[in-house]
Amino acid sequence: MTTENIQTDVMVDALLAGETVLDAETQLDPKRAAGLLVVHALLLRQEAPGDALAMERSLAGALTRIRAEPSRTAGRSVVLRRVMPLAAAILLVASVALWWNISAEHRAVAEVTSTHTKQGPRRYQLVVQRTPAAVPATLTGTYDVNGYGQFVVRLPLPTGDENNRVVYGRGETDWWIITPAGVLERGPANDIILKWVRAVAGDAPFPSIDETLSRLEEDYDVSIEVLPDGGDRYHAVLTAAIPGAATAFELTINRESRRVRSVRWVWDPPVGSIAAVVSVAGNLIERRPFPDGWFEPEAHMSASEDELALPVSPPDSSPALRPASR
Amino acid sequence: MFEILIRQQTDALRTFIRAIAFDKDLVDDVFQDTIVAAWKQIDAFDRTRPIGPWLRGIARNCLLGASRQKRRAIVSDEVVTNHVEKNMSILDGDAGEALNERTEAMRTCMERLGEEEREAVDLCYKREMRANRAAEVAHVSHDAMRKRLQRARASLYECLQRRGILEAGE
Repeated sequence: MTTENIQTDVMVDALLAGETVLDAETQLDPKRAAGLLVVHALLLRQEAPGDALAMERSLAGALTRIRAEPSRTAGRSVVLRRVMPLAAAILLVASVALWWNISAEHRAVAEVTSTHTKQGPRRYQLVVQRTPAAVPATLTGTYDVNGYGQFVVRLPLPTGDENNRVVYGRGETDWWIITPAGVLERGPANDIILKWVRAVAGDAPFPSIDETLSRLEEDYDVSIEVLPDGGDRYHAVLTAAIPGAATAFELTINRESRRVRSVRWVWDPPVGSIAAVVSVAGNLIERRPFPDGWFEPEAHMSASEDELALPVSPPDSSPALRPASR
Repeated sequence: MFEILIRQQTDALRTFIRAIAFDKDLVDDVFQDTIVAAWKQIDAFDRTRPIGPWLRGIARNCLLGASRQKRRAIVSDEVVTNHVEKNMSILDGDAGEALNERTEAMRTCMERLGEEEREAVDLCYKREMRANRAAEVAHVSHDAMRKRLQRARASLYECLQRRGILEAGE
């Protein structure tokens, strides 16, 4: 490595640490600097779990902003009707062709993935089913989620001791966990998952509904079952080689609102070395705003079990709130 | 339909913005602004040309605007940015070829890193630690951790160059 290259590396490293800026006067090899910056960006894309989540949230935010501008959409349709410039016509034809080339299943999944971030705050009952050898074979808990990837999970430890629960989640900025000893830890997702989440779920990588939806199109072969009660059930079978990923995924939504009624991840063979997990299911039990700060650990640090329970909503028989029967 | 087109490009677009924006807090904002601006200008997009460079051009303008607002440089200079753009064009590859496939070589190059460099990448990227925290975990000095990161990036850069994934040297 030449002296110039080392200087470039130092400069890029400093830039990446936010310690200084690059100016046009810098006598360094711009090609190498550019290459190193692209490597840095590729490493973030490929290695950092937080970066993918941030991208999904940014994309959802952008699409929400676009949908909030109906006036422009209306204006454009007028232009198309009256003038129809050639470029717009080509775009329209190409778009329709692209749309037809996408299977009905994937088109529907695209609709779900594009709307899942608008589903608002929800509470699901969680049921972790383990192999019969595990005692207890079933663990139940709750999964609270809002529309933008924030969530809180409350589950007993694999021993099934209801008084010995772990609470963990992802708030506005980072992952956190309150251990059974009542200690709060914050940290990167991987630290939390490796140390605690797998232990809680019996060594199963606990999935997030929103993240699974984001990956459906890419990694799963999807089919749709139309339910008589106004719902659609998506059956997804893993086609990609992803260690630890659920081998099958079932999602039931309300056809009209696209709201997720229930989800079920299945691992076949069971995942986990000790108390292997067969499936994790979530059924929508409540849909209402959570208190301010609910997705941050402070809201869960000192509260008792009773205090943590949200007020029960009045019964609602709408399909959107009814857990799917199975 | 616009959404489908954009979803195909989000990975590459964010990689580009990540590479040229030095203020990491801005990456999300610029990413969003770029998509919204693209939507507003979609009628002007020439469908006979690839969409990636068009989006990156919009992103550059968004970043420059943000830089002017902050009254300090938050974007790499034009020459470096042009080289980043060249690299991204290579990463784009042929039409329809996903960034994922093009960067599969990255994983191969990662496997060739030395143990110390791999640990540095694991701590600072995969586990998202700052360099000083990573240095503590690895029981080395802050400077040593930075050097390991530099060596890792340099090694990956040269490996990807050899494989034609990044712009070739002189």
